[in-house]
Amino acid sequence: MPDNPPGPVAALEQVTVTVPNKGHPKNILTEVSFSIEPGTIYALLGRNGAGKTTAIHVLLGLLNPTSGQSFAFGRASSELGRDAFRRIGYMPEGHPMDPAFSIRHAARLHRPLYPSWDDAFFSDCLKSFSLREDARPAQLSRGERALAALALCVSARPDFLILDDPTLGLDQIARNLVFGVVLRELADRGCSILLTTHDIFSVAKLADRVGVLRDGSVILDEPLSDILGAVRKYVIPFPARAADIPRIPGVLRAIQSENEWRVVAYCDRAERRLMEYPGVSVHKMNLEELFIAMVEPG
Amino acid sequence: MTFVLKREFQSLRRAMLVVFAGQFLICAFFLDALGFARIGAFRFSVLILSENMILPHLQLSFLVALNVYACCAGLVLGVLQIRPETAHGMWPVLLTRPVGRGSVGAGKAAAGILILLVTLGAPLMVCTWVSLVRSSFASPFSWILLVPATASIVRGICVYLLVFYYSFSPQRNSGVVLCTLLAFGIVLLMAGGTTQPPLGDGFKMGFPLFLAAVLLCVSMILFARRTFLQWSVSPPGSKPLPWWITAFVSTALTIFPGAVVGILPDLLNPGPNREISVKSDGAAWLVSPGEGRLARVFDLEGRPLPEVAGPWPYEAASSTIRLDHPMEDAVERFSLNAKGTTRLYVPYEENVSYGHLTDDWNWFLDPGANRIVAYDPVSRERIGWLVPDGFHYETPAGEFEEIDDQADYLIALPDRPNERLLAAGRVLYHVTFARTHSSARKIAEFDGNIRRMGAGLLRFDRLSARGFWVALLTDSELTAFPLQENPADDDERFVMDPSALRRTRFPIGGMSASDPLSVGILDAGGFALFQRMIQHGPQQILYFDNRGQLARRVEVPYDAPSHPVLDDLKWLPFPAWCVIGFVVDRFISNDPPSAFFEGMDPASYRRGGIVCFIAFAACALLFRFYVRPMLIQTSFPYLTLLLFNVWGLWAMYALNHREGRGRR
Repeated sequence: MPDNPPGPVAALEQVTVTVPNKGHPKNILTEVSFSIEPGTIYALLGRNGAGKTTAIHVLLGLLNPTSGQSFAFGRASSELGRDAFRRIGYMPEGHPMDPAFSIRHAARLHRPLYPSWDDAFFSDCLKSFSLREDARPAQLSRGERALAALALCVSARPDFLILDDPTLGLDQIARNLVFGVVLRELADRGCSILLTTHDIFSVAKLADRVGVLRDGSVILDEPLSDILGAVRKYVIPFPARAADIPRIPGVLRAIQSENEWRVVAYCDRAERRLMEYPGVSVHKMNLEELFIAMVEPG
Repeated sequence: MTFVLKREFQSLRRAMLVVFAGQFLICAFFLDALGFARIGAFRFSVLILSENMILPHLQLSFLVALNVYACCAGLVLGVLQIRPETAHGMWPVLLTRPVGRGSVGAGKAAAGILILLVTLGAPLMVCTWVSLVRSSFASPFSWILLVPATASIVRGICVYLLVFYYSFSPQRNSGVVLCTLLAFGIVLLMAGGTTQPPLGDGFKMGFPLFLAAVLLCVSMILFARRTFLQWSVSPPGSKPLPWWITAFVSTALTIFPGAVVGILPDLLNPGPNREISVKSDGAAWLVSPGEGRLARVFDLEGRPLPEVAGPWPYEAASSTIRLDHPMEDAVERFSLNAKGTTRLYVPYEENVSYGHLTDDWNWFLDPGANRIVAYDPVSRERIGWLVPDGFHYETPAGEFEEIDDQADYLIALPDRPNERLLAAGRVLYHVTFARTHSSARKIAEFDGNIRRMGAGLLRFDRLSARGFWVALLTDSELTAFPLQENPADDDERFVMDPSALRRTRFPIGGMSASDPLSVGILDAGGFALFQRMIQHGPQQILYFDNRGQLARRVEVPYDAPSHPVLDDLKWLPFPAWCVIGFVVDRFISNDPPSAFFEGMDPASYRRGGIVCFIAFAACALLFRFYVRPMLIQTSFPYLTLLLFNVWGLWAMYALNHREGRGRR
């Protein structure tokens, strides 16, 4: 394996991407920062249009940020070359595959590109996914195409795997197979993985660290283990001193509804202040609840 | 690079097959058809009087078809190469493979160029090879035909590259515009230099220009690498060039340099094009093309006569005639455009007409009116009609009923028909011969006879006092023999007399059948064999007597009476004329401001904007080359190019527009 520079495998630093929008420039990403440490699985979560794919494109050098910097393997993303891409596996959103090539043909085409290509692993993947080698993309269902694209991607034995919504179209068994077997095995071998998905349940079982994007900004970037134990939901009935609640240290999100405040906060930092409100109730949260609480409109 | 090439070939395999098959069909059809056209089996041909040459209309069609098809193939291939990538979202996949963006761009461009070269070039080569096998075709194949055909392939490649660059660059930056201009530059270079008539500069100019184009293509591939490095990594906020600016700039810079590039062959040519014509009295006229400028006249002994300048009989040969329907209109146009090049369309069995130039009168066959009409070449006035009961200076009472009747009438004339009737008879000869041999059986028989004689090149020439003459040129000799009339058999009116063959074989030492040779029949008897087109060094005229003995050989000294560029330069302000004309017409007057617009529908240049610009640019091109005999044929590719320019820009704009939205 090539030498890795010290530090994260990839990182975005204060990245902003602005696009023209009928005379009113719109920020797709606003000062986004996160990093993927070697050997970890980073799950980037967010609603549709939150900016997950854009962040990946910036990371891979497919898009220049308006401001900020991005790196992969110690090099600026815009300068990533052949050597870097030999170590990166990327499965874009929608799992595109060359329509002209069968799976076998595509593998034959990719094999010379990747020194670490693993034929045995590729065969195992196809076997596990129940895919025929001579099938063409047009003959595959959406889920099967996702599995085929994933097999091609992971068989290159990348050091850094980027999966943009890999579970789209997959049934539950296939999801379990992908997350529970394939990705886990890769992570165990030291592969760093950046993952965007809407399958929170699988992420909760697999991810080491979670980032949440809302409207182009990172609102959460913590190790999963820290979040699940440390973040709780507090429900505060009216009347309360509403203006103060969002400014309490440790509060991640505070949503005002008709007759209550719903507050997501780190218990160790905010609980003492929040418990001062009369009638407050405290609820433990799983990742899905946390995600919904963080990104729901309000 | 290998990865990209393999990927492209696999993805485009079906398109390759389609392009290959289409090109093969075009080449096969036209090369075959051209052969038949040479023996007069087709009705339409184009007469270029200034070069004393009849060019089969099919030959022009062949070039135009190749051009259009190659451009279509380039356009479609370029779109096919890019569209699926965006439609299937393959760009991110492709760009994150360890192949390098430069390799992706260069690989795609190289694959596209290679595919076009193979799919367009291979069928041409195959058909060429088949045509070169002696006797396999009726066609006396000319290598020169390959030059414009090759140019058309390069033109297709240029269109492809244009689409490629436009499609690849979401930001239409100056680099893209530069590439566009470069591509069009190549196209124009080829159009100006190699789509010449198959006699003249084209052949000699073609290969250097072709090599230059190849070098430019290679440089474009290298440039593509550099451009592609920038692909999609430019700031998303940068504003693309408005499409109409791109369209305007590329159109303008496509058209106007074309007028300049058009004179490049002359600029690079060390000497002016010259032309030899042999008069029936044996004197040779050596002329420089355009404006009827006469350089030298030689007498029968080969002695140069004093230089003659200005209007002279041959000037009529470079007059502009556009014969449309009806005949009166054609004559009117003939009168309006007294100078320039002649392009005469000859639909034998339509309304009108065939024109032939004699030293005094112009003769037109008007099958619609069933008359042969004579016009004065100087005053352009009608002189009279030839009808069954003789020549009339006034409107005749009778009419021929059939074309054959006219031929019969002429053939039945006294022993030595005068010069005028000889000319008319030649017209009828073509008509009659085409009709007599119009069936496949007759063509095959005729072709078989030619092949038995081992002839490589066939030319017909004028009617002599003794019958119809067919001249066969091989690399070593000229065979001229009369077609004997066979009145007993209407279906086989003319037969070849083998005994005549033995008497009329003449050595043509110093000349080759591949040279543009012509045969003239002298009033005094015998033949003159001469080279029609002279560009470099002394040329010769061979005079033969009636017994086939070489009577004299006349060396025509090289000289440079005028520099042809000077002739061209005076036409350079024409685009300015167009601009002025447009402005005057648009803002000041409703009348056409310039004679250049004569005959155009005024509404066509009142539409403003780009449409109007394109109209007058096309007009500029037409007139630019209308007056230039050597380059008249280039108007076809130019107009084709113009069409594809507009169409291509629209398609590319639409493509980019949609692609941009998708990417967002």
